[in-house]
Amino acid sequence: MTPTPEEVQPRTDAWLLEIDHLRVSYGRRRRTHTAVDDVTLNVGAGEAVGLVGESGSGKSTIGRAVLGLTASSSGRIRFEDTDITSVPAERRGALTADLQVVFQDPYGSLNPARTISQTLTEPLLTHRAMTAEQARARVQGLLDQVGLPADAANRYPAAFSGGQRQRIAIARALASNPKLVICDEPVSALDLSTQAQILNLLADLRADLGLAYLFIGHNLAVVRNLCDRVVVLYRGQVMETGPAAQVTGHPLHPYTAALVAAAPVADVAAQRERRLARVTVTEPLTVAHSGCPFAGRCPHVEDICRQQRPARVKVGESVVACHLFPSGKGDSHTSGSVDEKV
Amino acid sequence: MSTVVHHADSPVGPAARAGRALATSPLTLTAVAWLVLVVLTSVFADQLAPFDPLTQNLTELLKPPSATHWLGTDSLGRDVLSRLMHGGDTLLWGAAEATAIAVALGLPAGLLSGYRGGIADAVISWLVDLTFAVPAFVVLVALAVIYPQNTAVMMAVLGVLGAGAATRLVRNSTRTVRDELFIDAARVSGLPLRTILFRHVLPTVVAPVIMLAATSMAICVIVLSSLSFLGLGGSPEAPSWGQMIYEASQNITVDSWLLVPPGAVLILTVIAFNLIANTVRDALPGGPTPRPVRHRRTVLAETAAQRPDADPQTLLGVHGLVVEFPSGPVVDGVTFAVRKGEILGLVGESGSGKTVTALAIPGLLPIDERITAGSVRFAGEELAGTTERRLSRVRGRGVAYIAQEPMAALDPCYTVGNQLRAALRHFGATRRAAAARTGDLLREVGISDPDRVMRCRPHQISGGIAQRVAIALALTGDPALLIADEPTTALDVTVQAAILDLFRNVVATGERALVLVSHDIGVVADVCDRVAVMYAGQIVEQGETDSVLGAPRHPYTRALLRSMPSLDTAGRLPVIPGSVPAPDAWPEGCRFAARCALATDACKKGPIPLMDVSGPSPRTTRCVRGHDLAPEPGR
Ligand SMILES: Nc1ncnc2c1ncn2[C@@H]1O[C@H](COP(=O)(O)OP(=O)(O)OP(=O)(O)O)[C@@H](O)[C@H]1O
Ligand code: SF4
Ligand code: SF4
Ligand SMILES: [Mg+2]
Repeated sequence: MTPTPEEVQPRTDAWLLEIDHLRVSYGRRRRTHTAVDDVTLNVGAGEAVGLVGESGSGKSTIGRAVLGLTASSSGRIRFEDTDITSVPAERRGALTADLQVVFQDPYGSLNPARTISQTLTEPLLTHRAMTAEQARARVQGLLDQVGLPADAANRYPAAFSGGQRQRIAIARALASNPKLVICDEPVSALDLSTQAQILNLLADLRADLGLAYLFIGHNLAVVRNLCDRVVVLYRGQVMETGPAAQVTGHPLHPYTAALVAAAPVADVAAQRERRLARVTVTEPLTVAHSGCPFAGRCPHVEDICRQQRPARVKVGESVVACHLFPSGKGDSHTSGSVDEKV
Repeated sequence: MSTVVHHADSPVGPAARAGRALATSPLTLTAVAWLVLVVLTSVFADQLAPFDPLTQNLTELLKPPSATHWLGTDSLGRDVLSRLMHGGDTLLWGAAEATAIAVALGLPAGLLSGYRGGIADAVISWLVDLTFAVPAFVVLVALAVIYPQNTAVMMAVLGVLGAGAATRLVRNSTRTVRDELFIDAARVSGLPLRTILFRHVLPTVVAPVIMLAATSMAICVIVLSSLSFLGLGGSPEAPSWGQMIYEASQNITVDSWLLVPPGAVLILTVIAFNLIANTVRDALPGGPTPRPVRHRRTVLAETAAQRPDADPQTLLGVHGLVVEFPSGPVVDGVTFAVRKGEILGLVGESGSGKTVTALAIPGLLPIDERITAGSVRFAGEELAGTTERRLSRVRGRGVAYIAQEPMAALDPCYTVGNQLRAALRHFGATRRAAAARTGDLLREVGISDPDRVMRCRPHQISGGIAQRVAIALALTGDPALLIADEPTTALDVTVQAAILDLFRNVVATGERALVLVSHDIGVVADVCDRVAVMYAGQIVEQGETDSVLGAPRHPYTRALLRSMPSLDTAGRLPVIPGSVPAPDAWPEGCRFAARCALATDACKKGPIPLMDVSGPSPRTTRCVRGHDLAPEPGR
């Protein structure tokens, strides 16, 4: 039997963002490349969902499709029950206020020729009937919220460090009081000490404002720190979805297990043990086009893996796409093929 | 808490930058002044000119300059100065007309084609190509025959043809900004297209357009002068510079002076337009950077340089290394040693000087950075301050460098096998030996199918394989010391783990050593025997990896370890307040003092020396309270 999403997820209230069987291809005709391949994932109101995977696995593409910056090839994206699949950002009207973004590159994401206050008032004056005076007050409030001095408003981005620019980018995302912020690797370009400051800021803002995040990252520990749930992506496909502690603590999918085992920890003795315990997965020369995308590197690979794309199966609170977890096997209460949402 | 970093030359925007460049170069200011003078005299020629430009005075033919006729008279006795003042009029108006039309057409067409792409881009690009194919001068001559003396029509056509170049320029600039994230952010904010174009795209194309307009003015002035020289310009009655040159050339045997005034004015005007165009272009992003302002001779630390290496196992000894940018030091007295068979980690946040230190060892510093003090001894040889020739002999054979981006080390045009063989041949291997060694090298770096990889070009292999190949390339000279700068930062963690294993194998023979630069403490914990922690240009703590990470003796190391998120826990992280000070803001005392929870007055008094806090193994810390930090686990 196929469990409904309500059975799969602890959150029974309506999803804020629903992504169903999303597929995004780049290029035309014979040179197409499927960056996102049949991805299904949801984000609840106030929930932080992490999206992890290696470079090129399609994380950013999913975020851009949700924001209407990249066209989807098939599938459906719904935000608060509105279908936004094929609505580009420019035509989303008032909805853009609810759906905002913070990009990875703190240098490229701010127009160098515009002052911080010009950048921050832009979304305010677009959609809200705000006077210049009100906008100015709001800018001060936003700067305060992200921990920047009030006099930052009249400066240009060049006057700020990477971490400070990321605070400005966060302030811009907050300006329209969004419900969901897509964070595309917001701390990956930052130093360790700045990363911790920004992660704390994001956590605080979420607690204060009830924000939901789709948090894209490649560092499992960072995602674990901030997110309730984690979605693990490999070559555009979802390998595993589950509660953050579960995914990083007891990974089920062989790829997730490899990711967790390979993430180095800053403790020499512990790292030595992890190193001895891990199974080295070699990088493949060629990409398999059918079956499980991880088959070329998987230590548990079997014939079926190369022939058939594994179905997504619910195991405990997680959902896994791997032939090691056949849909019929295991406890019938906790395991089964999932066809709808996760 | 946040301190705003001020940069003296904060790049505000291309247009503002171009404006500032115009205002600060004396030469360009002169050019602007000249053009203003020419325009003003042309406009007010009626009032300013001492004589009527057409009045002939047959008693004063071909007179040299005098008090009445400052520039003399021509073959009909007309005052040359007055003719010169009146002669710029048609020229400048015509040039301005053509330029205005080119910009007015090219700007919107370029914006549309660059921002929208697709069909609009294809159609507009086709039209642009068409304008390039038209022989402009031939068309103008034909027009001059059909519409005699009608400068306005000719310049309009020239403007339309020139719009092609303007369109292409605007399109290319637009395409570059279109992919900027701030445009995406504006789209996500729901800004309408015209606002995005006006606010975010237009300002970045303004400077290139100014440059194009200035060039176009120069070209149009030349074209118009040439036309009037050919007698095809405006009315032969009205004076123009081109015509004056024509008339002067008729009298060249009688009086060559007549050629000088119109020629000089014309040349100066064209030069002025070109100067302005060049200044604007140089101010654009990608233009030449200002030359470094000051140089200091290399002062080597004599004592260190002369000191014999105490330990024969020491492969590299860096002592008191200072590296300066034109703006001042960025690496400030770095000292460390690496023994054979050892992996030393150099960790620190961006701007701490770890990459500059790594580049300084094999003498790979960029042109405006230099070692100004200290010594770099490699296998008994001093590398700091030595000649480029000796350095290039050491590089590859003695010291090899592995960069963060593996693809950067590989040439996209050649197969992996070709590149490896070429490198081996460079180091003196015979053709046959090189061919044989290539396969071995690839196997050595963990590539299971060397024959296939050898036949691949770099774009056909994954990032992990590419980094393995880059390491193989670094090993071709059989170097004793490898320096790897963030070699796994661009890789997936599963691939990173395999590359770190490879590094462990590379030094396992006991004859090689590795200096690994990283900001990732986990990576350092995985492979490094010893670690040096850098902060603001200095090493603040150094020792064996497990003891430094397990029981840090510097508050920065300790705070950094605590601020790392872990796989086992969630929730707020203990943070280090503030940010790393920029080199020009390094304080006199402890550079970490502003962010340090343990800071006391003593910390701010003066430079903090390295303190020996060795326990069972050697250990140093740059902290006056190094002894207070109880050797308890740091996390
Ligand atoms: N505009 C584009 N045109 C063509 N291909 C693209 C484009 N953008 C992304 N791709 C390709 O799509 C795939 C997924 O890219 P995406 O940027 O979504 O990955 P990612 O997981 O965000 O990677 P990273 O960690 O490097 O940011 C990659 O193979 C990439 O090369
Ligand atoms: S489906 Fe097969 S190859 Fe893929 S992860 Fe599972 S066991 Fe490995
Ligand atoms: S010297 Fe003082 S300010 Fe510097 S790290 Fe030590 S305790 Fe902190
Ligand atoms: Mg990305």
